[in-house]
Amino acid sequence: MTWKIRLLVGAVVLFLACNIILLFLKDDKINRTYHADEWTAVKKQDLLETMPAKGVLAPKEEQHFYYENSAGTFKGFLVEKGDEVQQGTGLFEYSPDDLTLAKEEFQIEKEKLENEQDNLESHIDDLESMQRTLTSAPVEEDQPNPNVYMIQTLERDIYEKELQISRIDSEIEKYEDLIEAADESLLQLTVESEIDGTVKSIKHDLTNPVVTVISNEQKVTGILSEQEIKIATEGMKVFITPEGSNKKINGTVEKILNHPTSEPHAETESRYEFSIVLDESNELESFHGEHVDVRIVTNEVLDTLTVPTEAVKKAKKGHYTYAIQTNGRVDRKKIELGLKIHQTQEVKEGVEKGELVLLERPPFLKSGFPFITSVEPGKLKKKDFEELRKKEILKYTARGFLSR
Amino acid sequence: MGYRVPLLRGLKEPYTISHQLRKEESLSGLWKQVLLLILLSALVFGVSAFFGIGSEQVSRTLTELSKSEYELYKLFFGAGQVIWGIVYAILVIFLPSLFFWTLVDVEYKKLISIQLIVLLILLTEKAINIPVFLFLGINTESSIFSFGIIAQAAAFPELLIYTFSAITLFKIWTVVLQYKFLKVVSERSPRFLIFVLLGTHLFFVIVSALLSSIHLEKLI
Repeated sequence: MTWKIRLLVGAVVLFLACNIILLFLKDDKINRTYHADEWTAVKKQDLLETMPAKGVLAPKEEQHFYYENSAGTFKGFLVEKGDEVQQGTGLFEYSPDDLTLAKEEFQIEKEKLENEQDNLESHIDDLESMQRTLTSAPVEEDQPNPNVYMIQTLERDIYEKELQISRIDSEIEKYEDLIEAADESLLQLTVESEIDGTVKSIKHDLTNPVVTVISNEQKVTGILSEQEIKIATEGMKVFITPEGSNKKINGTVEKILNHPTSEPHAETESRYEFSIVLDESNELESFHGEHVDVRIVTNEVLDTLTVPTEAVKKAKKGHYTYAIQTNGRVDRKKIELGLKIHQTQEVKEGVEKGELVLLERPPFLKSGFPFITSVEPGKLKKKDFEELRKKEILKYTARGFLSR
Repeated sequence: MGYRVPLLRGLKEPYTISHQLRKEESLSGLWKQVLLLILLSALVFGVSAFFGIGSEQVSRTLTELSKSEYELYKLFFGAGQVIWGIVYAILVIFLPSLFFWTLVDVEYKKLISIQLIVLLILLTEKAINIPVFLFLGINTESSIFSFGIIAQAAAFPELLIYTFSAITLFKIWTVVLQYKFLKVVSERSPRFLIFVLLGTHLFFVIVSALLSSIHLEKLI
């Protein structure tokens, strides 16, 4: 290199360095244009903060049916394991033999008592006619009736017999009740299912519960960790998605057990069971035991303004976002932040719906810069092209032609 | 067979090439080179327009137009820029050479050859400016190769800023190059050549500054 070239290179480098230094030093005086890559409109939407959890589909109800010795002798099962049952389907029945036998015995006993009652009544009748005869017998005046004693004795007898009758009456009543009870028992010989579902188990050795029926209706159960249980509360909304599907079903946290699933241990984390009821009209055509993704809505802000988190710039004094103004410049706006969920940030104050905000924080960006954007052929639509008038095409092209 | 001017070598070795140029009777492949450089110019302007450089005017409509319409606007804006790129190349190749031809006693074709090299330099500047513009967020008035930044820092009036920003290192390079070539190929005195060159360039700089300041594109 000759000294001439060295001098030249040195001068050029000095000039460039001087320019770059001035660019930063006299920042506010230098016109700039910012190249905007991405921008997006401020949206108005509902914000949901959710907590993921794992769940599994389980029958909503499990009903146990017990065999009671007192109700009669076991006769047999009417269903088999795995059978579909409806409300009212018989599950198992008691033998009627014992009951009919008992009923007959009561009947005989009752008839016996009734006979006895009849006998007593005719006896009373006899006694009464006897009494009447004695009372109507002619008696001399001023003479005490010699039959008075007899009459009195008869009266006592009648009274005694009547007492006996009423005693027998209550006895008969008792047997009538028993017969009625037996009749009722005869009607209730079949134990019926109270829900629609499937027979889960049958105990042929008659250990209780002899039959267990699980409902077709489903709920979701899952496990929460110690941290999660602090966040979740009963009554929270839940979104359920069966694994490998994109259906979204709504539900509600029904119950959170406040005792851990296993014996608490100092060194292991405790886990808590919770269950979710599915909202009605949300039939899940899935098998029991199928796993589902659960998202518990822990926080919810409805109808609020949001921007992507990239659009939020943190500065010493609060947060800012850069908004595109109608005059083709970017404006720095101070914003109040709200809830942040994943990549979405609620903005409580500072922007309006539909306002366009820049997504990235460019170097050297300040308020009041004009900006330019690259052509994105992917966003072009043929329809708009066809609708564009020749005059406009000419206008746009002319602007491009004349622009420096 | 005539002599084909090696344009790239002309950048590096103006002295050798200009002596060659003086000796040659006829030039060959000149029109091919002209066409090639016009296409190159269209390409560079197209790429620049693709990144939206100079499209501040279009950006104003971002909030009014739909996304697709906005892109269409930019597309036609880019088309306009490409057309301007072609016109610009033609102007740079033929206009100054015509100017010199009337003042300096040199064959017109040879002057065109010189202007082809000049255009190559100007297109190089434009191409280098694309990434620099995008990275530093600066526009034409604040190009780091120009005196525009200094003019702005000194708070000059707007017209002067445009004038200064039109003077760039690459422009100076072209003046030097033109001077070197003309000195060899013409018999005119250096003082006269300098006078002609500076006059021509100053004329173009002032014209472009005036055009910039009235913002022609806004009038439509």
